[in-house]
Amino acid sequence: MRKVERLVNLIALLLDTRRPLTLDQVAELVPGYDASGESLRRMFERDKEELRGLGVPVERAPIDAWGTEEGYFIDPEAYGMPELDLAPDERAALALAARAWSGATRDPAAVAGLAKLDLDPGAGPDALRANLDGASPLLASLLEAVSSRKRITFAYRPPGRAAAERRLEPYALVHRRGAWYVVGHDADRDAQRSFRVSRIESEVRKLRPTSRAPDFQVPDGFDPGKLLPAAGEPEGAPMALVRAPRPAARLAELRGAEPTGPPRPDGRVTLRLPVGDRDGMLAWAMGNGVEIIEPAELRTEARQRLLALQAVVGS
Amino acid sequence: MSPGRSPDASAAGRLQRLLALVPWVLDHPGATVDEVCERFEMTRETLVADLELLYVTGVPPYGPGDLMEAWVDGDKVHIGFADWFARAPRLTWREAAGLYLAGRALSALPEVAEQGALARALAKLEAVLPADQLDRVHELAGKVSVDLEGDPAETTHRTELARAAAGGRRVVIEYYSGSRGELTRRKVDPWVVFSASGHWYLSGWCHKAVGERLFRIDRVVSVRPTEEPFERPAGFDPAALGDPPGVELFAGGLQCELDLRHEAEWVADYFPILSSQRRPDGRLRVRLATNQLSWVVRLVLRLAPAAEPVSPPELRAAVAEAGRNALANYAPSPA
Repeated sequence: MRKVERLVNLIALLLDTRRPLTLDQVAELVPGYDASGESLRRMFERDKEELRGLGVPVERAPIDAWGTEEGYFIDPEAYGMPELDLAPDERAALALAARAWSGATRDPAAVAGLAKLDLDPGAGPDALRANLDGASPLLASLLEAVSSRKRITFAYRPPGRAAAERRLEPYALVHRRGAWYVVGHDADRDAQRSFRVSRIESEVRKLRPTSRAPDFQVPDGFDPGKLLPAAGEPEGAPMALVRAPRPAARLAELRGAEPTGPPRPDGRVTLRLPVGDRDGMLAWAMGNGVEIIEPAELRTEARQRLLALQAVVGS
Repeated sequence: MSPGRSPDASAAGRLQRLLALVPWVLDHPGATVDEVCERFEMTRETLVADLELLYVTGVPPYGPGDLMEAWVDGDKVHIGFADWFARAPRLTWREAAGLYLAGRALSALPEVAEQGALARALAKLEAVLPADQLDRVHELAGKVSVDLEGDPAETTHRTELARAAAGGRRVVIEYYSGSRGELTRRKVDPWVVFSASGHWYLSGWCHKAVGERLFRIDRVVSVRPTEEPFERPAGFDPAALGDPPGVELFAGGLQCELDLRHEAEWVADYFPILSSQRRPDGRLRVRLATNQLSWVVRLVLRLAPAAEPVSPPELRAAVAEAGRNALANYAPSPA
């Protein structure tokens, strides 16, 4: 008798019963409980816990007025997903959200979740799609840890370095520019740190898995939205002066770059714009044929990078 | 109980599918094998195995009518005597949280907010969640920050393009091609706007290129709506989108090799490379396929000098030339 069959039979029995059934009654009726005493109890507890994880609430109540023995049942009202009564456009919108969360991962749980609400995975507004990759197994563990405030440990590989074991009090999860970050208090460095989830190379394990109590408090005033730079350039940043080919200049102007005058005879446009992220600015300039005029330090850096490249590829 | 990774995760996944599948089939009498397979993203063999499993289950001790009926009848899926599974189980808190968090993030997009449907749907969802679950989801929402917006210029263009896509109207866009450094004006049938790997894209039919094209919305310089209607091609499947960024760039037959220093190794994570190999000098040699040499040239310049073009020779030559041109601007005494 396979476990899935045993569990299906168990759910059917506990949903159908009009009075709580004792463990012995359950074991007698449901095929597959080939155990007795403590090992039977452990087997049943594991099944019960598994069902709870799937959203199936197994409840416990005295089987008679004297309360000498307890039995188990499933309340059909607590079991069944209520009808949401969604209009077609609401159904499509919710399907879009569900699809965004389940993302590209073909997670059976996510597919089942869609089916519970009868949200057609192919539906949703044809015109818009988003992908949050929320159903990835790592993220599920992290959500669980953030929600129940449990300390965690995992192997983390910073860019270009070797992976190392980290311990973290996870305060929050942040999604920016297509990537998830877990943010919290790094116990080893005694400082707030953020970790890109895609660089976590192990499972996420709780440091105190057996305790249900929270391991830490999130500090007052903590705001996950403020931890990572939002899209766009920070205000009050140092300014740069550049000469850009016209197409690249048009795009830069959309993002706040100011032309200092009409295009030059060679067709390039002189622009003033915030430096923002230094490396980002250099990469943008080098990749788009943009000459940096000021600040002098960035100009020197760009020139040196180009010279270093020429030293390698120039003949 | 540790989350997620129980040793028998496949059994849990299968049970979860079964508990959702039975009520769905009961709700859709006459559903075909293909429909059920598509709905639950499963193969015909898996479905048949699931039905065979259900066929031997029911309410013990299995009196008359207590065993489920489940089989394939022609091309239709039949399930009967399954009253106790007439409804799917409630959402787990994690499913509810995922829907709610994604819903909130999407609601922040102007083109979604102006429809109002998602906000109404989320309110209905909140109304049926049990109180303890709702509390947990709300608390979690304060600890999860999702920003899908992009910068203000990108948001404006994305909103206009999404509107045109929803309304089935052509647009004229000005688009900056990064690899060629050109600005072009194109009439486009906007099929779908989608996000992938941190960027928003427009997929559609480009009348200038006379072909299907993918546009990164942060490189759109202007959007002009038109009144011309368009039709999406028959069989167009927006769900098939969402692959790595710039898929069209990597479909080509030209293979390039780059040696990356550690500060440039993110390239191997970010782009669909064909292979990578650690060199004796510690650098990572990656191979990628492209249909646009100019795109790789630009990448090498962006990374300069952390990426060395190894092959083919024309890549090395093109990088050398682009580098010389750029360097000319940096002559010791600027004009």
